[in-house]
Amino acid sequence: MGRLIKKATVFLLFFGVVYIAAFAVLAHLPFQGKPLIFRTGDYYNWPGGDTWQRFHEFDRNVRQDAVIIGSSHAYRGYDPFVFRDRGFKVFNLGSSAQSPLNTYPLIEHFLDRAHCPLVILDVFEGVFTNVGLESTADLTQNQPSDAAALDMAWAIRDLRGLNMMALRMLTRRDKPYYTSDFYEGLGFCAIPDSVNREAPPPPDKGVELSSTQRHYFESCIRLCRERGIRLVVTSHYARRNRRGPAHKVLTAYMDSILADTGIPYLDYTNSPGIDDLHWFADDSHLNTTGARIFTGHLVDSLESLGILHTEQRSVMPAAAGTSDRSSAP
Amino acid sequence: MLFNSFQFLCIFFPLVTGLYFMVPKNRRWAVLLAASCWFYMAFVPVYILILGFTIGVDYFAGIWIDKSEGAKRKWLLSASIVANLSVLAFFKYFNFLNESIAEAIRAMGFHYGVPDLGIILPIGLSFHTFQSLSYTIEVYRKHQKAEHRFGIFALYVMFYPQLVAGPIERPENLLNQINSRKEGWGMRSNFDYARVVAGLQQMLWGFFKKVVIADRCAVVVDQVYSHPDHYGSLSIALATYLFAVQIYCDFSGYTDIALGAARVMGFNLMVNFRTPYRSASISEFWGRWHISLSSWFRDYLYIPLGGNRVVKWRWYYNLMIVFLLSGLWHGADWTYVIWGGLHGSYLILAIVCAPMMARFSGLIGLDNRPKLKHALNVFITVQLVSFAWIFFRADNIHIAERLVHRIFSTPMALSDLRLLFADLPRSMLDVTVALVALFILIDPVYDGWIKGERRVPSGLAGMSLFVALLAGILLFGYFGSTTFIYFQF
Repeated sequence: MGRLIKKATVFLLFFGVVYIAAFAVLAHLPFQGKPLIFRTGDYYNWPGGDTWQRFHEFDRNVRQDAVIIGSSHAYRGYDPFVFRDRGFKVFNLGSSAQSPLNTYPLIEHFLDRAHCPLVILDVFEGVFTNVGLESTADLTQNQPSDAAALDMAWAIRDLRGLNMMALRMLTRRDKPYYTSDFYEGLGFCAIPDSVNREAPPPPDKGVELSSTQRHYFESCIRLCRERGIRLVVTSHYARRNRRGPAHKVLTAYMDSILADTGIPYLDYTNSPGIDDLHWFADDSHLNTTGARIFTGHLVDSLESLGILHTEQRSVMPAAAGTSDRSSAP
Repeated sequence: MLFNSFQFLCIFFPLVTGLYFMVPKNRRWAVLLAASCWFYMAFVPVYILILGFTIGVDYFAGIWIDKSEGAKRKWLLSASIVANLSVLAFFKYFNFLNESIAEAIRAMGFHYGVPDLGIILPIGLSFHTFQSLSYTIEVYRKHQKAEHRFGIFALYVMFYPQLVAGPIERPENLLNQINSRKEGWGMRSNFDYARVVAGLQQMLWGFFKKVVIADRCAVVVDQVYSHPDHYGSLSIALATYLFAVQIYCDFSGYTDIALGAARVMGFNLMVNFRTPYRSASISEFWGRWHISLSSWFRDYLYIPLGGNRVVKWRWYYNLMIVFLLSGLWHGADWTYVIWGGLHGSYLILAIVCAPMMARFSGLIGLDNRPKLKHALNVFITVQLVSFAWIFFRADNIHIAERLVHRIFSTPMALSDLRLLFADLPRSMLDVTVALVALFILIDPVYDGWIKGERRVPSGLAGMSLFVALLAGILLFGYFGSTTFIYFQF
């Protein structure tokens, strides 16, 4: 047995050297405009884009009144500038396809009560049905915490996590590969175009929420409670195609999980008066107009519920519509 | 539980293997039986009851057959076969038969009201049914003593490495190893460094075949086979050749992991593959492909039917029956029946045409060039086998018919391959084809090392070969929850 352990250790060390050397070559050898590693798998994410911009703008040592977190629904639909106009300092840490499996390490490694007394977590059924791979690929490359990246890579229980970490380590000094034209600052991305077509009817089937994602969502609730961070769970406006049985599965789950926690679930999915044609950039995401209207609606609710207080305002409220976004970062 | 899952690799296998070597040798069977139950119940827990039924029937059948004499033995064997095949027929073939009858009756303009029961096939049912049957048949033939310890017999049927996709073991091999009284062999093996390393190397080779080759090929194959009218002859042919590689790597990869896991614990399971695409005839192919199934059909069906020691027409009939049933064994669909029928026809045609082919071969001088003749025969065999795979892979008979029609009716155009290239995830096609080409070169070499037919270089050189495999898995593997093709059977 001792011999096996000794040989296995030598084997693994040898493998580690070969793996890192081969990975380093593939990650830096250009081929048809991109490093060769891109040819070996479709899950690699290169440093850059709005997630990179967002996390390099965010300073975890600066106090925020609230941090918004969640998937692309969050970073496209919750406009921090509307909060700022109302006197609240808010940053948006949403990222592509971010699921509770990714949200948990972000809260763990980026947020504490002293700098973030309130977390607004956007949810929709899609984040509970994916495996978290897309978001892990994005966040392992684009957010600055090695510990958070390691937690996410481990959580997917897949060798792709190891490759993502290797890519992170071997490209950490590389400049961002690209930036997003839609990034406005404070973590927010604004899409001005409207979908301008009727929404299809919702699918007539429900969905099955992943047990892994439910576990991490419930862990997020526990973590916020332990850290004394107040949590609000929200779902933003939705087009007709998303107002169906699948969403009912989510609301039933939220009702069951949040019932005794005192955490409010502000569900705007079926709000009256939603403009399916002009408030959305596509079937799922709000556009600039929709985000501004929705965020105003949300701030009203948070104030009326006493979750955001007038006296806690960190910035002077601006007159509506006078917000200067270019100065944000 | 899949062999390529985190749960198996990081929890189940190390834990079970560690426990196996830690407990006293006379208690190891209990560890393996409990582990096998855990392994099987990770799929659909309630289906262990079906497995329990099969085990119960054959356990008592074996004991009673052993004790009985004369016609009663035959009667008991028949009862065991009927009970086993009834379970198989109900879970595997009810829906197929029901649908086929319904289609035929509706075609005649009548109403048919028997509903589809929506039965889900218990995983590995065909494999463990055949393995269990081989025990009662061998007891009946007095080649095997009946096993009186229920736990040992249950372990023979449930031994986790080969429980869900074979090899379909025989009692004289596996049961005797489980029952071993010989120190250092089978269940009484000691921790042997060389054997453990050889087992782990075999598992690694199996993972390489599955994750790097089979699962990558699957992406291309699935794209073409799910859009039969979208692609032309070149893409369909390419996808079909890739499926030939995929199914080989998927199934032989699974088998290598199974054999490797068993080898680590001191068990030698049957060899199931011997580089089958190097066969120079269909008959040789079946001696190298899924050997445990083909030998099962040979020993328990073909030879009892008379084999080749009968008049010619009866020989052909025997061959066709065996291959049609072999097709049906794989799946309850006409596509599998046609696949089996094609292989049966190939074999019959080879026998019928043998004198003519021999004359032709002599006439064109091929007999003087044995290497060229062999290469030509291998090439023809691969074409025939690949053609039959179209029916095996197609989701239904209509898709198979469309694919065959398009292979022969659409012109060969490079634009067709460009279309396929554009439809796939980035770099999928070119990297896959390059890896398959590399695999074709290294397969005979690694296969020889794994089976002990070639000597693995010693020291750093030997280690480098397996380090390269592991690095290849990480760098070029196609990951995700991909199951093994033969699990469905």
